Amino acid sequence: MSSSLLNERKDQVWIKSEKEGTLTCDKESLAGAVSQRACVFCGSRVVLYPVADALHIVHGPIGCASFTWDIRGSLSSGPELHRLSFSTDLKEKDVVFGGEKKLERALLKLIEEHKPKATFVFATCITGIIGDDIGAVCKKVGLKVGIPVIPVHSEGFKGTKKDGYKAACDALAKIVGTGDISQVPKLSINILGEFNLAGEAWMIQKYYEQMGIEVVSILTGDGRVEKISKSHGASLNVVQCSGSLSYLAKQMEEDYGIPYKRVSYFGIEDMSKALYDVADFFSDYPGVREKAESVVRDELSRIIPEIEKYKRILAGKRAAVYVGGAFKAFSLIKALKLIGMSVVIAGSQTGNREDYEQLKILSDPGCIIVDDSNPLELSDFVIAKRADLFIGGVKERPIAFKLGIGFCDHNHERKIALAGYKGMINFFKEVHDSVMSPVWNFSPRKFGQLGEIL
Amino acid sequence: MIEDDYVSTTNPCKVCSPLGVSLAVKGIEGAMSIMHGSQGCATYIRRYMISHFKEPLDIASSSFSETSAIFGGKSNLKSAILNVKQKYDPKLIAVSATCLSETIGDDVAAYCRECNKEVDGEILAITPPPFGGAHLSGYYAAVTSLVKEKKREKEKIQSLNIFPSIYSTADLRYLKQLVASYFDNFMVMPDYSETLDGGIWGEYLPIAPGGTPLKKIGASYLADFSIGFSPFLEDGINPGKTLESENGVEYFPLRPPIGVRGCDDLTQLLCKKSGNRTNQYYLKERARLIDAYADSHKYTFGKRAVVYGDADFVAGIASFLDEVGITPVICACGTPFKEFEKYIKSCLEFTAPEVIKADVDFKTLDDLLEGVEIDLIIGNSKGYKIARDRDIPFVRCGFPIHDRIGGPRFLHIGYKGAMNLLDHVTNTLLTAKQDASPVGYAYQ
Repeated sequence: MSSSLLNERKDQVWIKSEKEGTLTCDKESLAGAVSQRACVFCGSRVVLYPVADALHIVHGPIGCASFTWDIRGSLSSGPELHRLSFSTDLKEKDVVFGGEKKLERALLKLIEEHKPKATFVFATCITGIIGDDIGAVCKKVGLKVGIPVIPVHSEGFKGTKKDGYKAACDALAKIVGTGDISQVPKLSINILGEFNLAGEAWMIQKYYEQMGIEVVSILTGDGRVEKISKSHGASLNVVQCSGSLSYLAKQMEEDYGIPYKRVSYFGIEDMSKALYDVADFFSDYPGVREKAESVVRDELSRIIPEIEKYKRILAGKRAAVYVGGAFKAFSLIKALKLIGMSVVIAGSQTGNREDYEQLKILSDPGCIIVDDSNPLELSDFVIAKRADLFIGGVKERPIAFKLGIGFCDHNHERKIALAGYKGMINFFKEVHDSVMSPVWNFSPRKFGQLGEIL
Repeated sequence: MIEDDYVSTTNPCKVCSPLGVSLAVKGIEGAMSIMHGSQGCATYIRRYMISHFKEPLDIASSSFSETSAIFGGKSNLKSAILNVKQKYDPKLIAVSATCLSETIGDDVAAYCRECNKEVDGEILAITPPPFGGAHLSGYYAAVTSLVKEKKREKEKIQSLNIFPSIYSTADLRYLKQLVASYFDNFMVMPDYSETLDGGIWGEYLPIAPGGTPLKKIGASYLADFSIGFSPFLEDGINPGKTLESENGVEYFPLRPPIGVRGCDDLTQLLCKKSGNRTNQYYLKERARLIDAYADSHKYTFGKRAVVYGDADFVAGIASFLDEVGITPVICACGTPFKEFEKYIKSCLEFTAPEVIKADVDFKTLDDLLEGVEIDLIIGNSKGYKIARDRDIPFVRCGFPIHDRIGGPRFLHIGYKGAMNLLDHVTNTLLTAKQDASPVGYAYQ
C-alpha cells in the first residue's frame, strides 16, 4: 500500500474492507519511526495542567519544563498559577549528588511565595534514574506546609502518554475524598476528562445546570483543589476523552461506589447523548429528562440552519483525522458526516483494541485506519486518498500545509471552543475556512509544479 | 551570578541543549537527527520548533523504554538508525545524547562508531552539555562536533567558514548573499535557510533540500579563515576556535552583524581578506540605513529598553540600540555564559546598561523590571506576559517567536536587517506615543 511503511508497523495499519483481523496497537513506539507521540510526563502534564490553584513543579532538567510552559488553552475563572512554569532545573551536580534537597528548598520557597492550595511534583526521566525519593520529599514538605504536596510518577520512559494519564489520576485520587461533602446534593455529577479549552467546560457545565444538576467538580478544566476534594460526594462521574480520566473514574467507583458514564461533547449527536444519558441516570428525579430535551431543542433550533449552510458547500470533501485519543476521532467522523464530508484516514496515537474496532464500524469503505503513525506515512496516505483537509495537532499542521491542504487544530493548544452546540458551529466554520481558502489553488498539488507553469 | 538560594526557575528563558543540536542538524545537507532518549524529547523539540518555523521537523527517537533506561539504549539506538536509514535515507545521521542517555552513561560515540561499520552513510555522535546548558550551547556543540568529526575531504573547497548563531532564515540568506559578493566559495554552517523555509512541496520530502554541503564541512579544516559571532563561547563548543587550535585555520570572532558597526566589522574583514573588493550595493544599503537613523533619531534617543534572549543575539540587539541612542537598560540571557557581562559591555559605546545578567528566568527578569522606567521590551515571544502585565511596548525578535507569523523570516542582520529593526522599534515607540496622546498625531 505505502512505500513509507516500515515492516514492523504493517499490522498497525488497516484499510476498511481490505482484510479481516485486528489492528495491532498498544505497542511501544518503534525506535526511529518518528512517532508523533510524546512521553509519560506529557500525559500527566496535560491532565493536571488545568488545576489552576495548584503549583505544578517539574523536578528535572530544564527542557521538560520549558516545553510545557503555558502550552495548553485551558482557561481559568480565577487563579492562574497553572500558567507559570516551575522547574528545579537540575544541573550536573544535582544529578551526581541527588536532587532531593534542592527540590525540598524549591518547594518550601515556592509554596511560601505563591500560596497554592496543593502542589504537584512531576518526576522526569532523570529523577527516575537517579532515584530521588520524590514521595518522601513531598510527604515531608506537605506536613510542614499543611497543603497536599503530591508526587506525580511521570518518568518519561516508563511507557506512553497513556501511562502518564494514569499517574495523573493517581495524583488526583490523593485529593479526592479529603473534602466535606455534607452540602453536596444528590442530583450532582463530576465532569471528568474536560480541560476547559477556550472555555468549553463552562458551556457544558451550563447545559447540566439547566437540567437542574449540580456540577461538583470538573476534572480538571478550570480546576480547583477544594472542588476536587469534594468530588466523591457526587452521584455520577461523566467521563470524556479516550480514557485520560477513566482510571480515576474506575478508582472512584471502587472507593466510593460512584458509577461512571463515558461521553463525548463533540458533535450534535454525542453532545445530546451526553445530556440524555445523564438525564436517564437521574430518571428518579422528575423533570430532568424534559429539561434535557428542552436544552437540546433550543440549541438545535439555533444551529441547524447554520449547519445546512455549511453542508451545501462542504458535502463531498474528504478529511484525514489523526489525533491523540481515538474517542475524539469517533466524534469527528460523526460530525463530518453531518455536513456530508467523508473521513478517508482515521488514526490515533494511543487507541486500544476496542477503539479501533469502533473506528472500523464508523468509517467509510476505503478509509485507512492507523495506530501511532508518523509524518512519512501520514503524508503518503493524504496524497493517496486526495484529502482536502487534515485534522490533527501541531506536529501534523506543517505536513498538511507543505502538501497544500487545509488543516484544523484539534488538540490541547487550540484557542477555539469546539465542544457543545456552539462549538459545532465554530468547528464547521473552521473546517469551511480551512478547506475553502483560495490559497490552496496555488499549491503544486492543484496547480502543477512551478516548473510546469514557467 | 545566581543567588545562593536559587533553587528553581519560574518561566525559563532557555530550552534544552538537544533542541539546539536538532536545529543545527536541520542546517546540514541530507542530515537527519536521532534523539537518543525518551520519545518525549524528540516530540517536544519538534513541537517547539514547529511553532516557530511552521515547517515539518522530522526528528527520530530511540524511544527508550524502562528496560533501555536500566540496561542501556544500545539496541534501541541501533534499530532507530536502521529504521531511519531505511525510510529517510539520510547522507548523515546525527545522534544526540539526551539527559537520560547521559545519566545512565550510554557511550553514544562508541555505539555510533559500531553502527558506522554496518550502515552505509555517516553516523555522528553529538554530546551536548546536557545539564545546565541551553539550546544555544547545544547548537554550538553540534556545529563544533561536525567540523571535528566529519570525514575529512582532501581538497580545499572554500576560502572561509562562517558560523552564524541561531539566526532567522532571512538572516542566513542575507549572510550568504553578502559573503558571495566578496568570495566565490565559502561555507555557512549550519544553513537552514532552505531546509526550514524552502517553499511549498508537491509531495512530502523526507529530508528537505538545502543545507550546508557535507563536502564543505569535511573541508572546513582547509579553509583560510573562519568567522564566528559569539566570542564568549567556551572551549569545546566554539567551532572557529577549535579549527584554529587544531588545524591552524585563522579565526575572527566578530561582534554579531546586527547594526552598522557589526555589519561594518564583517564587510571590512571580507573586503580586506578578498583583496579589497568593494561592493557598491552594500555601500548604498549602508547609506540608506544611516539616512534612516537620522529620520528616526528623535523618537529613539534617550529611550530605555530591556533586551533578553540568546546571549549573542542580546549582544547584537544591544549594540544596535546603542547606535540609535536607546539604552539597553537591562540585558539578560537565559544561557549560563560566564563572559556575557564583559561581552555586552564591549559591544556598547554610547550607552551603559544598569543590569547585565546571564542565566535568568522570566521571574528574575520581571523582578529586575520592578520600579525601573522602561519604554520598550525587545526579545522572543516568551516575554509577552511581562510586556502585557506591565503594559510596555514589545518588539518580538530572535528565537522563538510562536505568537506571530513571520518570526523565522524576520531579517535582523546586515544593513537591511538594521533598517528592518529600526522601523519596527521606532514604529512601536510611535504607536505608544500616538495611543497615549489625547488627540493622536497625524504627522510625525
